[in-house]
Amino acid sequence: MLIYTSNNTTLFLRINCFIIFIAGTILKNIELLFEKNPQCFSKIQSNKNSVIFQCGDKSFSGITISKIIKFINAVRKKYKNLKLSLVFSFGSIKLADKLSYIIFECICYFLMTNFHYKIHLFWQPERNILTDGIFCSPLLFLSKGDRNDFCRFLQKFQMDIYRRHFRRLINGSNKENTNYLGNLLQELDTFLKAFSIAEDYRDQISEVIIELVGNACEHGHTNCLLDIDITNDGEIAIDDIPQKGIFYGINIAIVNFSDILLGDGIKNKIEQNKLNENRYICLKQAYSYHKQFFSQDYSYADFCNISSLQDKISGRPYYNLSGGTGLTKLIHSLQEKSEVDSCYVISGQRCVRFVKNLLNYDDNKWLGFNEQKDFFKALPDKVTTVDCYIYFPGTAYNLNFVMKRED
Amino acid sequence: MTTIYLKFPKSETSLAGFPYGDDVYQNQVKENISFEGDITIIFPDQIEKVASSFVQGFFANIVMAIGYKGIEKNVKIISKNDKLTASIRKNIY
Repeated sequence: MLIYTSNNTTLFLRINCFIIFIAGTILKNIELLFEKNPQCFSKIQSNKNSVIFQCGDKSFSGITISKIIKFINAVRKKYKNLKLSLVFSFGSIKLADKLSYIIFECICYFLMTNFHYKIHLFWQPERNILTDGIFCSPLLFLSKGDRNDFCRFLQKFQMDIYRRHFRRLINGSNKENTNYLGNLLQELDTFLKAFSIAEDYRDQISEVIIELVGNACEHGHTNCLLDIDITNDGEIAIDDIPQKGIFYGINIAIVNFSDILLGDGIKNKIEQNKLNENRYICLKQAYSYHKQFFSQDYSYADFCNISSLQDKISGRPYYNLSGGTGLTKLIHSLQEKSEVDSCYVISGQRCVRFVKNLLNYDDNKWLGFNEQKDFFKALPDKVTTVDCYIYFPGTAYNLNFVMKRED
Repeated sequence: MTTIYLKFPKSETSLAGFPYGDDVYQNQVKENISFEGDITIIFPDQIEKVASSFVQGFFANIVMAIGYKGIEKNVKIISKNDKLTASIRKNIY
């Protein structure tokens, strides 16, 4: 278990930044989260004015998100179009990772913008270097209950750049012929420069983010939410053993909601028999081997996800020669520089974990996601492809890197 | 021999995105390039960073026309500094 003690003891940041509200920019397709996860609780707790979600989970994770979705589905079924106050009560709770609370933010945003629910949040999240961004999350505003704070939540959800927090809702549709990603690259570089992060490392982080945002907008045909927080310097303990030195965390979440999943581009190429050129011929060979072993633990969807993360493999329909940069390798390179990391992507019902010691190329730059470094005659390690607690419509990345501060 | 001087709005100092790279190729290069001889592509000095997605999109058609070996042999890239030029070239492959 990772324990983090920050030098900054102020738990709640004073929010006095300039927030620019961009009217009309909304995170699209969040409703898919409820449509694709239609289960609902049979009973919900309510009092005169509000409906209450009381949660006893020790950790706020995908399991908690699953329960929240069931709760919301039940509320919407029972109360139809009534404008309600929703109370979420968690008490003192550990956050499993950044993505969990970011998805919760998205849910709150959806409920407030689409159903005009008032949301009140009661919780005391534990401090952790991987989830420290919660202390500059728009969710802070929902703990107060002031009417103006609801507006601030909505504004801060869409855009924020304040001290250690960078947040953008990026709309890529109809911008394919513009340099919107280049402009984002400039903004990211300016933001990261403030934290004395080495230039090469900064470039790699920016590159990873730009590629993932571009993929989300281009392949998912939707917009996406980008959230980055750089923690204060602090000490860490791993498995209760204090580590020497000063550390800081770089925590990134990139989320899009869409009917199109991570591996869909590759799936289409396989089904339309378009694996006839260059590296795609090798991909076809790998597919012939892997498909013999498709099961509940390692499925066709997993193969497509893993394939879409390979070097020079792209889901783009028209280009079979270029595409798909060494994104996974770039993530691996960042992991190599980290003391601790937690990186994964979820899409649909499945998750791909980026496990540091399993991300090594073979001689031809194929990633087996296994110890053998073999994509063609071995399956990915079991820890790489796992089930999600929810069906996630779209693609969401959780990237956490804990770095040692150089003297 | 073909020499292409790329032009971008002055406010743009970083380039990114496969579709944008492709768009720049289609609008600034396609009509002016000959694959018969040497090709020189010049990025203006204002450009400080070029993401691999832009490079991939920009060079996709050139790769299709002359292959990676053709690029290695016949295409010269000039940019603000050697580091950026090396990064652009590396990201083609």
